[in-house]
Amino acid sequence: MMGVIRINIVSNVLIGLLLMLASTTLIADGNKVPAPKGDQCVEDPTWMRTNHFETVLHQRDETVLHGIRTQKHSLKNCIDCHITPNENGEYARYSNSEEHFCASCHTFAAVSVDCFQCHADRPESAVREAIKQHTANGTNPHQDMKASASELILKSSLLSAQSK
Amino acid sequence: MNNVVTKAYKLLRKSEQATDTQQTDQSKRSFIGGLVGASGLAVAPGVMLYETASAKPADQAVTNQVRWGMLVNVNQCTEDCNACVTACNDEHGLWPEEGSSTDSQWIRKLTVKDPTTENTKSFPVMCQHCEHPPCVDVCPTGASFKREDGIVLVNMHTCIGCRYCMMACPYKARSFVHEVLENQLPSTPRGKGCVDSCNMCVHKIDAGENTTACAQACEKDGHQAIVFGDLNDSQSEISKRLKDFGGTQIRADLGLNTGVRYQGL
Amino acid sequence: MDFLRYSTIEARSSKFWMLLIGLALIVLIGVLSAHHVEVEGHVITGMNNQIVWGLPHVFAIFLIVAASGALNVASIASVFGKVEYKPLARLSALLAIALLAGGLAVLVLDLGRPDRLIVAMTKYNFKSIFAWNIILYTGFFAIVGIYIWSMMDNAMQKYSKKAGLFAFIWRLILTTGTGSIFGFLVARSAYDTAMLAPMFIIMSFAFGLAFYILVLLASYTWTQRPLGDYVLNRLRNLLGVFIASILYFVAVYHATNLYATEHHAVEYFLLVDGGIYTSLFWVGQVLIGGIIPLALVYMPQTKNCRKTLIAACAMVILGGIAQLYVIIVGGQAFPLEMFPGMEVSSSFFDGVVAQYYPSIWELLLGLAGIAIALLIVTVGVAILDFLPDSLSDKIVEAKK
Repeated sequence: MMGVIRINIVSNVLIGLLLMLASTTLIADGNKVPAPKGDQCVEDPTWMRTNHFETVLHQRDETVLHGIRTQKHSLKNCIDCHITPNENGEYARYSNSEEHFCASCHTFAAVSVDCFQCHADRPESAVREAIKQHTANGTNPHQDMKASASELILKSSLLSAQSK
Repeated sequence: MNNVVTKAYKLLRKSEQATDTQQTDQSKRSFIGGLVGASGLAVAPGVMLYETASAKPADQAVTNQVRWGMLVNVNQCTEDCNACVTACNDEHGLWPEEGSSTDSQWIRKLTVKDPTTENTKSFPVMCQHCEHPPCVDVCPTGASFKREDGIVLVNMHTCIGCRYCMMACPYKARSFVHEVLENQLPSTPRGKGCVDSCNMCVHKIDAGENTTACAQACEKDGHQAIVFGDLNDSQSEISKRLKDFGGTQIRADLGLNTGVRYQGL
Repeated sequence: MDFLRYSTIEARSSKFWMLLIGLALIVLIGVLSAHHVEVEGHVITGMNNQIVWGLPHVFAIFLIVAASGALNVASIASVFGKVEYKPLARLSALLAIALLAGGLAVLVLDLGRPDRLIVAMTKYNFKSIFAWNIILYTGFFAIVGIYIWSMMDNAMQKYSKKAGLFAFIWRLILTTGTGSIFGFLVARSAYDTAMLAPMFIIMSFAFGLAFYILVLLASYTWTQRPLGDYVLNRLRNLLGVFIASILYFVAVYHATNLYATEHHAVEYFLLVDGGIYTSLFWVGQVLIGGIIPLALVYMPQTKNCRKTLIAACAMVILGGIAQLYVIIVGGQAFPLEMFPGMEVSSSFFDGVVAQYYPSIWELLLGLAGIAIALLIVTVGVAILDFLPDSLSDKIVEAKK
């Protein structure tokens, strides 16, 4: 929870900086959520907009309790198609309410979900990549937040040292 | 409310225009892809030690026709080997810090020494997947449950984090997630405030792989000390071994009929 | 003024408001620290995968146990027909509800997912004694609530005795349920005994009564209402009997364990070699919670002395917390016996005594539980007629 809030602050600051750099209208009009994979959602998109949580909830119990793992309505399937890399090849995290498919809408509609406290918010390949980097750095993959927070402090102190 | 939702989705309109216009049935395609992938994995190396019984179709519920279990041959397990533990951690995305009393450990190597004879044994202990699990009995919300095929799991959607199951488990098999986690693997969702434990690699079983990461790793390391299989099938490797050599349960006195048995204990 | 009359306390004094604000502050601090734990995770507490229940549970279970005991004074009047206890009954029922609310608040706020309380309320596993307790606790609120109503409303008076009897039976089941949370744990050497349920009942008698006497003395002294020695001496004698009974049950519990060789290790740990747990047992539980208050209650020199009664009650409460600490934390600190008689070691602290250092967050949450209980009592006596105007000997003896 705290982690999510922290990252929100970080991303808000970054977004604020971006807003200063770019013209305001450009950001306001642009949709920053990268396009999904494939050509067609598993259900009619209009229907999905209002009913996806029921589908996911139903599938959730089927999977956990009875081992039914059809792909169609699985959260993993949603993520695999809808969370795609941006032009820099980066996957948005759920804490990024501008670029993450789920977060962008949940934030707008003021819906709070706790799915991603446990579930991966991006495809497995992206998670594996992050883990690989942690392993290379000798850091614990469970602690992105701490790593990035300390990194930020380090960077900002370096910057201030440079400016002096 | 509807208005808000409509507005919200307008934001996404652009990214979905492509989705709306084209008609290929991607779900069907990926579903078939999934099945092919699963059966491909089922014929992984070292067939001898796994069940190769036909995989359950993805849309069908597990049944009590099978009861998954594991047999650990203590005589073939060496004290310096930690392969099963490492494999479990890699498979499920567990990264316990050394010496941490709060990080989850789903499987651990135990060294047991008889003080009178000085005889020492080393073997892994994980959730024993009891037929009558005390953790399931005590769980107030029913989040701790036993699947039809004998696997004991935590339904983390209904776990309230009361830790009564940890008090009740005779094997110390369960851990409580004490802090915010990051980079959990898609196949093993877990997070702060809930209890977790060995799930007998349920995602592998459901995909028809019919083995566990620890059993695979042990075999790869050449010890072949862990046999995974169906306890209900008299023709399975695990049942045959149990019949021929027997297999003890840890704390058999509790009458829990564990799904994990030990040979040479 | 020789008849019994109830009235609300004067709620306009600055003393009253200071008490109220002070208690509310303690509650607020406790809730904030619980929130802090929820945000950061239990990693900031002293609890870990070995000691899964810590200081919050000691406080919570103490309060829940004391809650059912606090109702005893009312039960003595309605169930056992001792009319001289009748003027004390309303406060007794109020304190019971208040203590239970405080205990449950601590228990709930310590959950890993307190946000999912609704799950605990809607999904029941009826094999779980914990789930049963949720029903027993909610039922207790309802039944004692009706009991209070029947005592306060003249029209309901005729149901008072029945409600009192029902509440008494319910509280016995409730404490049995609380004791069974531990008694049903087959895997742990220190628990797994039917002794725990009756022992918890007798503990509840003493803890609840000690709390009751303190609250009674405080509310009568601070509001300058007359409180005679007759009432206090009855309660003092009762407290003495309950303290002695706890000591008896504790002795039987350990004697039973000592007889069985398989339990020698855990007994040696608790009674001789358990470090903090051994000290808490002998000094906290036996000496401060048992022998000294027993002496204070029964010594002829302390007859009619309110200061020693206060001291005895405070000691019973401290001793009770020590006792629950030994039962709850000590019981977990002793290594789980997976291979009896063997030396076991692992990366998961098998075979070693578990370490537990309670954090400030846990303590603040626990204290908030007590403050919640006292806050409810303070507000309760200020808005409803819980307290008799006078408990002077003349009035009470007239009742008899």
